[in-house]
Amino acid sequence: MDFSFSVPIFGLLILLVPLVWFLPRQPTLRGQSMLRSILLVLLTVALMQPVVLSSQATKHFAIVLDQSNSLDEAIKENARQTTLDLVENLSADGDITLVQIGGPGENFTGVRAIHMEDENRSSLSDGLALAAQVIPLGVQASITLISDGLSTDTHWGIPLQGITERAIPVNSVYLESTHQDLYPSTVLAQTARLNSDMALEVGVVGTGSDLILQVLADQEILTEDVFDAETSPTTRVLSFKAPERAFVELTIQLVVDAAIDSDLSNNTLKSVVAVQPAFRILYVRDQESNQFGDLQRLLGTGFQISSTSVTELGTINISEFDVVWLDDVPADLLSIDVQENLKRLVATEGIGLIVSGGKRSFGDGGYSKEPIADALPIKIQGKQDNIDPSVALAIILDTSGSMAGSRIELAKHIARVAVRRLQPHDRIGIVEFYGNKHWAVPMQPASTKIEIDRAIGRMKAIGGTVLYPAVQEAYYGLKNVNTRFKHIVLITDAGVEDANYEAMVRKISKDRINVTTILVGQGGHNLMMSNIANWGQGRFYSVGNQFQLVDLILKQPSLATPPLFKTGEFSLSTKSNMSWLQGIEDGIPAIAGYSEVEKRPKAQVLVKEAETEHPILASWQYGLGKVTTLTTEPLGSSTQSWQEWPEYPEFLGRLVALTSTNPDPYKIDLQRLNNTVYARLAGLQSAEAPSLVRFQDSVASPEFAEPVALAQMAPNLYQARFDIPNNETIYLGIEDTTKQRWIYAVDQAASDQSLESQVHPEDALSLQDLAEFTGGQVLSQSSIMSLESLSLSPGELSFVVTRLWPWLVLLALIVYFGELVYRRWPR
Amino acid sequence: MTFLFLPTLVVLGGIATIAVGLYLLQQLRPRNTEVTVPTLMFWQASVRDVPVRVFRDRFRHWWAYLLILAICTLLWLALADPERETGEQVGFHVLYLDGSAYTSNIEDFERAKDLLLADLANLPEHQREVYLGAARTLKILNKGEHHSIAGRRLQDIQPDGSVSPLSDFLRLLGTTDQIPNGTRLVVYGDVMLDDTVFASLPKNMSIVQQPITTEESVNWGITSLGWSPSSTGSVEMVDVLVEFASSSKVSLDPPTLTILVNGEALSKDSWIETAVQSYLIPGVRADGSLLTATLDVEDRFTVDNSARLRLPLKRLIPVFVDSEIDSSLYKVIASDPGIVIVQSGEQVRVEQGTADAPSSNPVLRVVPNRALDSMVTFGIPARYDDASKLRSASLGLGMDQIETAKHDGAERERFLIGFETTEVRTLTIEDGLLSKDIAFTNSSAFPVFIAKAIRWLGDESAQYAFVAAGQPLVVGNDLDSLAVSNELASALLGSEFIPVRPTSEATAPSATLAVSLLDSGITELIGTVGEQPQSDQLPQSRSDIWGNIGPWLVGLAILLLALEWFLYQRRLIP
Repeated sequence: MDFSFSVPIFGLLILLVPLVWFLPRQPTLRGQSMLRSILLVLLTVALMQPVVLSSQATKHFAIVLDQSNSLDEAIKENARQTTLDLVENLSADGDITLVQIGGPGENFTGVRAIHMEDENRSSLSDGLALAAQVIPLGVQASITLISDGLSTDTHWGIPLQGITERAIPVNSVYLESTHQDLYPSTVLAQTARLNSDMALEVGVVGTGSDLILQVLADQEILTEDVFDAETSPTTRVLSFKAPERAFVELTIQLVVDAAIDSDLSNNTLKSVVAVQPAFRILYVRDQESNQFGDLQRLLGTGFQISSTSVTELGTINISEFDVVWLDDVPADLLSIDVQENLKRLVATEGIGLIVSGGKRSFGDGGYSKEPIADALPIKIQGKQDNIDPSVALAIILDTSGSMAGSRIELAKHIARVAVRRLQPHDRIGIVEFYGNKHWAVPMQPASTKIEIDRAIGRMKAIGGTVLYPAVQEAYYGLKNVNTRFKHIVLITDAGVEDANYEAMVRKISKDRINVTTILVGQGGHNLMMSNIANWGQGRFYSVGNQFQLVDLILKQPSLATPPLFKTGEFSLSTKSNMSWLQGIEDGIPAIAGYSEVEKRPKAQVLVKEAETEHPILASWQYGLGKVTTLTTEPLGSSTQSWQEWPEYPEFLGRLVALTSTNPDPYKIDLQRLNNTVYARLAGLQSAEAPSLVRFQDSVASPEFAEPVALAQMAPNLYQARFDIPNNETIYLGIEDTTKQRWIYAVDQAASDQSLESQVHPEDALSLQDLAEFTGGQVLSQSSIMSLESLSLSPGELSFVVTRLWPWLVLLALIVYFGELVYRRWPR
Repeated sequence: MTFLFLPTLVVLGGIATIAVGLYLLQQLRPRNTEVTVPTLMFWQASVRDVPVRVFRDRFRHWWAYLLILAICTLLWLALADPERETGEQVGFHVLYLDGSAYTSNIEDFERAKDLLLADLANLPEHQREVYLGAARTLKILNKGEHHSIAGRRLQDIQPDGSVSPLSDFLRLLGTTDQIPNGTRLVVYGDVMLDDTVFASLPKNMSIVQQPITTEESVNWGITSLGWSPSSTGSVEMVDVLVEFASSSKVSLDPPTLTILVNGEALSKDSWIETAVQSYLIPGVRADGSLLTATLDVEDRFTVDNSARLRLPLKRLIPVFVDSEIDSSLYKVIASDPGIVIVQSGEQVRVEQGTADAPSSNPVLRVVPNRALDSMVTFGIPARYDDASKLRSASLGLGMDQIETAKHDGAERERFLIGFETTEVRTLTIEDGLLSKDIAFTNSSAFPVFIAKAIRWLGDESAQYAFVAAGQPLVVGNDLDSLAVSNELASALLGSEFIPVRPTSEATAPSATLAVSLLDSGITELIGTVGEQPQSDQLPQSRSDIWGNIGPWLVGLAILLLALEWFLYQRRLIP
């Protein structure tokens, strides 16, 4: 019990009371003075307005009654009855305050009513907050929520924190809604870029068949989706080309038969989406041409194309661009520095690189040796042929008598060794001379080595030595043979006639037939044989015995790269099923030329030649960026058919989009909480402070943009706070100074709220969990009347106040009467 | 006029009774009868014959009677506790005591409280309510409750340096019909009445402020304290930013800034002054320590002189990886510096399996193609793991980088993130997602997808870049953007948590946040002298001094009693 004075200053009057004892002139009865003093003291104390505060466990019950439009009339009536029952049950125990959400204001006797009037919003968060707010501090209390749990926002965490701090239990009465309704509830937009496809994920509540979901902008249908909703909720994805403006206001409309939808008024959703600017492409050619003009025309305004020649590439700030397109640029025109810079920018800044071309670029194989080849998803080095040239060999074997014995055997052995070195496509002939000439083995392919060997074996050393005609014979035999190399090998012991060998051998040599001489048996040197070899541009060997056998090298095999650029008519194919080109109805026309390349293991081949499966269009991730190769000229003679193909612009656009990862330098995140929007910017690539502006409207005109001060909250994190009405959309832009463009962001009006009739079931508040979490009770409509008690929060600050003023004044009046009686009583 | 203690009829009857009683009492007094006797010898006979006491006699001393009647009537009326019906003239008042950072100086707060209580006593009980605006808005006094209760309820209240909830309080009031027309909100304290407050003010309400600060003073405060991933890319370090500001319009010598990490001072050698009163501290160890920044200054408002920051904790999530798992997935997991692959004791499992296989651990499961409706499906154990928030966050998983998803008409929905209810957190992906057809594994989004997913499965609390009172939480690492911890989400049934006061604040049984003020708007405006209200705007002047006339009656009665005593002493009245 506490005792206090409301106006203690009056206590000073007590100092005047002793005057009653000291002022009288006349003798006064002591009793009378005493009574008068008591009277004055009582009145003085009364003036101080004393009160007595006695602790008393007064209780306060707050009831939150949901009468929002998500409930049908029967349920609302049940809820009202439940409330009435609860009020009857609790009215004797304490004060009751009713917080009603929606519906016409109800009045219950003895209950203070607060009515939340917005028909279109049933914020259980605000209802709970108001309920907590009506309960005075320190009073035993509880809150009872009578609702279906569907709330137009999910901000109940804020009041719930306060409720749990005060340990106020929240009881719940769940109103089960029975009506079926179809409506679009949520929309999530993926990042959209000008002239690229953008996708919306739309959540639909309710079930039904032949439902049509449309996306409209400026009353024009951008796309529509016909579907059956077999489960609820379901999500549909709608894709369409992003309109050409910074901010697009979209309307999502669910068209449904009235017979299956109890409420047609909630079938429309609004969404505002930011569309990021077009990709910036740097188009690089080595010639003056208007190709980039054609490219711009094909790609349309959705892409911003700048052109440069390869010689000026090194002077340009490539970081300004999203994609660099090297079109038919020979590798040797790209300096090493430029190539290394390109690779670095792709890997570290995420710039996209497209390399396309025909004969002049990929076709000559030049790229294979360049640094930039590492970044390409293809290997340009073609198959190199191991070329084995053909040779025709005519062996002139001396089988005269002077060769008898070991010499003939040695000669035959040398012949056999020479024959063995020949390939089947080579040609061999053996002329023996023994006074006459004779083709022991006529000129023939060297594939019949066994017969040739036998023929060699049959040779005997008999007769004389007449060499000249044999040489002529060998010459004539080789003259018409069409081989790469031609040789005459003369094997003799040099016992031959004199003749004008020089003229003949020189003539033979002029016909590209080499003459090699082998002296057998003697060892040493022989001038004539040596001369013959010199005249025939061959070599002279001296083979004295079998241990001095020579290895005749009749030809040198080589590697050669065949031409890569192929011409002809080439049909193309793409991956089946989940094709990158899905939606391009016609299929890709055939082309007239492409460069033959191989794909790298991790590359993705999007388009290939149908028969050989050579990659035509390939792409892969390279560091932060992507690299795409097109092994034909996109605007050249090889792709004439493409240029007449109606969907070619779409194809090129997807190619560019595919290649651009375009990481923005900042990531912006917007969060709305009632009347406050937080904008947070995290620097992804840039360490500089971003420049944020707020546009006046969706037109996003920079001239009317207002700079926004950002608070740097962390080294790489900036924040701005906007206190704006919840029904206001905010349009923002960050200036990307590197790429000379804006990054747009938008938070549409009431983005943290749903309309009452479009609340997503996932956003429902679980009343059972609410009761359990706060220590409340889960009640039912039937249990209310038999309810004995509700759990309450602790409360030690509730008081009954007794004002002593009237009692003191009454006492003073009695004392005054007493004094009068005492004064007048006869003595 | 109404009487609070007695009915009007009783009051009137009482006055009549008093009048009669005093009339009778007036008769009760010694009266001297003067008898003339011819001689002294007849005095005995006279005494015998003349009665000693008579009750009735001619009523005399009317003025004395009236005086006494006036006194008694005044006392009787005072007893009846009269009150003039001045309610409508006074209007309804909402008295609002600011307990936010603006009035965080204890002396200012006590003065504001005293002013409020003084004004409160002057207002009729049914014409006012009292609220306290600190971390939350609390009702202190209901209408009809005696004003002395407010003093008791406010007795132990201290300002907590929170962000003012005034605008939200007004917004809430504006959604209801509970405010009578012409209500006046009187704010006691120095809270800034900015555009937000006026925008939230209901149309039938006016506002007046009784500021407390009478002299301008300079306030220094820390306005930013946050961390970001290290610019060097190291996962074991973070960079920290500290900024402070003052309310002074002129340049002043800044106070000394001290930074402690778990109580130990951080060497200033590592600080980089990036701007005036702004420091970057690179390479601070990410070990979960508590970093405290303090300004060595004595100013009137100490709530922003220090700030706290919980540094992130480099975590290693032990993950078991099935040997049959796709190599591209394995490589990404193995190269993640926040993950350690273990053979037992795992927190998360990564395995090949079927969609309906049970699991007691959080699991990332690769299932055959088309085993589920979506290629990626999150399994959420409790509904508080808010599907809608996860769905929004999942936009950052990079699924939109899958070209096929953009264009494959019939299959687009399969690329949506799916959700289902499970016992523990799960993430199920179809092996088609890892195929070369889709090439997702080759994109830059894939490692981020896996990193975020594993962290979410590991149910690690998000690590916040900064925690400011009154503001939503902000994760410091993009990889944590899915990491709504079960515990924090459960604590508020899936709703967001907003820390309200600068302190170490428990959010859940095992989660404690280090909260700071970090509001440059407050720091730079605290201490400014507010405009004093017009005298007729405050409740003292608005209350009719004649409204409570009881004390006047008693005072008048006392004066009359003094007069009556004086006259009695002079024997002018009986």
